[in-house]
Amino acid sequence: MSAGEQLLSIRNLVVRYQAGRRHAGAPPAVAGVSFDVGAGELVGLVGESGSGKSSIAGAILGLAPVGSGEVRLLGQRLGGRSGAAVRRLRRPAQLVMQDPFDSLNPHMTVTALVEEPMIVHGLERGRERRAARALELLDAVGLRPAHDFAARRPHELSGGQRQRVSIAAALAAEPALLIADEPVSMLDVSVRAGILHLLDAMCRERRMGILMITHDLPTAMAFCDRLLVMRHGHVVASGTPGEIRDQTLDAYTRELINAASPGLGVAPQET
Amino acid sequence: MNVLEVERLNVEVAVAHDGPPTRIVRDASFSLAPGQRLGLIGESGCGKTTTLLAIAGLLSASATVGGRVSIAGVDQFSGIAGGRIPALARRDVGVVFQGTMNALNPVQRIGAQLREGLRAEVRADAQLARARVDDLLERVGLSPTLARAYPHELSGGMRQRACIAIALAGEPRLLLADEPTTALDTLVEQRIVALLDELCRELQLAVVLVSHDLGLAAHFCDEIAVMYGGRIVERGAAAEVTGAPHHPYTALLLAATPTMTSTKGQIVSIPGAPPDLRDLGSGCAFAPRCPRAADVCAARPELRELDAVQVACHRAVSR
Ligand SMILES: Nc1ncnc2c1ncn2[C@@H]1O[C@H](COP(=O)(O)OP(=O)(O)O)[C@@H](O)[C@H]1O
Ligand code: SF4
Ligand SMILES: [Mg+2]
Repeated sequence: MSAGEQLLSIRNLVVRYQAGRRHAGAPPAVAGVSFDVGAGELVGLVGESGSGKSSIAGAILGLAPVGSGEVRLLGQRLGGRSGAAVRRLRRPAQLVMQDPFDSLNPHMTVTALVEEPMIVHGLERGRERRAARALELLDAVGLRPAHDFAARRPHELSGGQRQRVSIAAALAAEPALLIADEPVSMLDVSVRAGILHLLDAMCRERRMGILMITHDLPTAMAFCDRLLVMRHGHVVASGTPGEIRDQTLDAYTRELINAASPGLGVAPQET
Repeated sequence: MNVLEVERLNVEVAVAHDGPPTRIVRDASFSLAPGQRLGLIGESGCGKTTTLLAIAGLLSASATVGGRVSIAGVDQFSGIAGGRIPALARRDVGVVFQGTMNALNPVQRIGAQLREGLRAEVRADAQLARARVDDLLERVGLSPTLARAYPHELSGGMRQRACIAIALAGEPRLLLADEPTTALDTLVEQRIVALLDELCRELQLAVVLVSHDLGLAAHFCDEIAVMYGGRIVERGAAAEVTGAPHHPYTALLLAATPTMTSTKGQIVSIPGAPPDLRDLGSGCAFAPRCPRAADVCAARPELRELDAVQVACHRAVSR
């Protein structure tokens, strides 16, 4: 990557799913969206289900059809290629999914789950080096002491611990960009901050870029450097959390702000 | 008269297949007057859902219930194993759960499902029943034409509205809701909460709301009870409990909940995990995770009055 280039650069992206007869003329899932994510930056993509957030992630990962516009990862344009070439191009972008309960193969040990991406991408050759690297990653995501976790299977872990395994597995592919799709929404409030602080540390310490997809505005406000609010496939507001909170005129965004944690953050009423 | 009285509710379930029974709910007590709303909060596995199911009489037959639950003055099971509630009394209770697809019958039209919930005398009169179904749908903001729709033809928000209509069909005086908006988007959630608020006010419904969302519970409920390890550890007016928590667990749950003005440094997680209910020990169940734990905490704290709330913590002090 040459100086000044973004990790991820999206320009006028349109995602349109194959229109069945029933959906002929349906609006595109993503209708011309542009934004960048730089190294060491945590960018939030906020919106309700169906607003197009996951379609953007899908376009980056090659899971959703790019109708027009472009997606560049480390300066390389994605799309129009197939097979091994595109897998190589996409490796720098890894996904952490919402549901740690079904994204992990229940039959595999924690080490095997973390080693698998190394094998798929041909990254660490040799059993011992892979095992050592897996332990390093488990330690990095806070599963300590790592060797206590190595031989366990997903059902022997709590939800927060499983999500840490998912993050370790994503890191095993040595990504420059992590796409976290609702990484904490399935978890108890009590463990969410741990995962969010971990992602934050990845960003600051490893200079990784993170695109965090969430419908939870307060969380995005607290953790993201910048955020984009999406509605019906369009970005309706973007900026730093402070700009969004204090300056956004977009009515939908204001509605989201007002709907967030209605019962807290206000002085208790006199009774 | 109180709509709901729960006195020293205890629930035991055999967690493992043929293992010894585990006490999942321990000595929970609370009561609700007409129109009053209680929020039950805490991490998953703390016994919130089990408490609700015990009140609703929906526990599996292998469960053992102790204590007293009385709904609209009728004792539901005074110490009867299994805790089956007579069908008649259950008409006084409406339930709404999180997964709307599970609550609705996928192969039955919404209207038919609503009719099944009507009181027998209403259902017996076809014309009255039809009018009542239309009225219920309108009340929850759905068009009466949707009586002919199947659940899969509705959006998540519409399905939750239909579930609320079904819960109200029997003209209950008590509504039991377990995470009713958790699967919904923020604004859909806000609309459903506003709808519930309006209906409960209009019908003077007493409500027990189970939620992991402290903000929602504080907004919707008059009172909050925080559960940990199967027990209520703090209970009081919503504004008191969330404004100035007395129990360290409540304080940490609050600190873990971001608001629109939180900075990331302010949002903390609670180290460790909720206790295994099979192995609670004799001290305070929160001690292994509690930043304030001390020697006294080796004995179990009882719920006591402190300021305007009740709290089970040796080290909670008056402010
Ligand atoms: N029928 C049951 N069989 C076995 N375990 C149960 C049963 N019902 C509840 N439990 C256990 O009891 C604990 C409390 O569960 P629950 O009441 O669902 O808590 P919450 O609603 O606070 O998450 C959990 O550990 C759960 O696995
Ligand atoms: S009794 Fe002790 S361990 Fe329990 S919450 Fe209070 S201070 Fe913490
Ligand atoms: Mg529950």
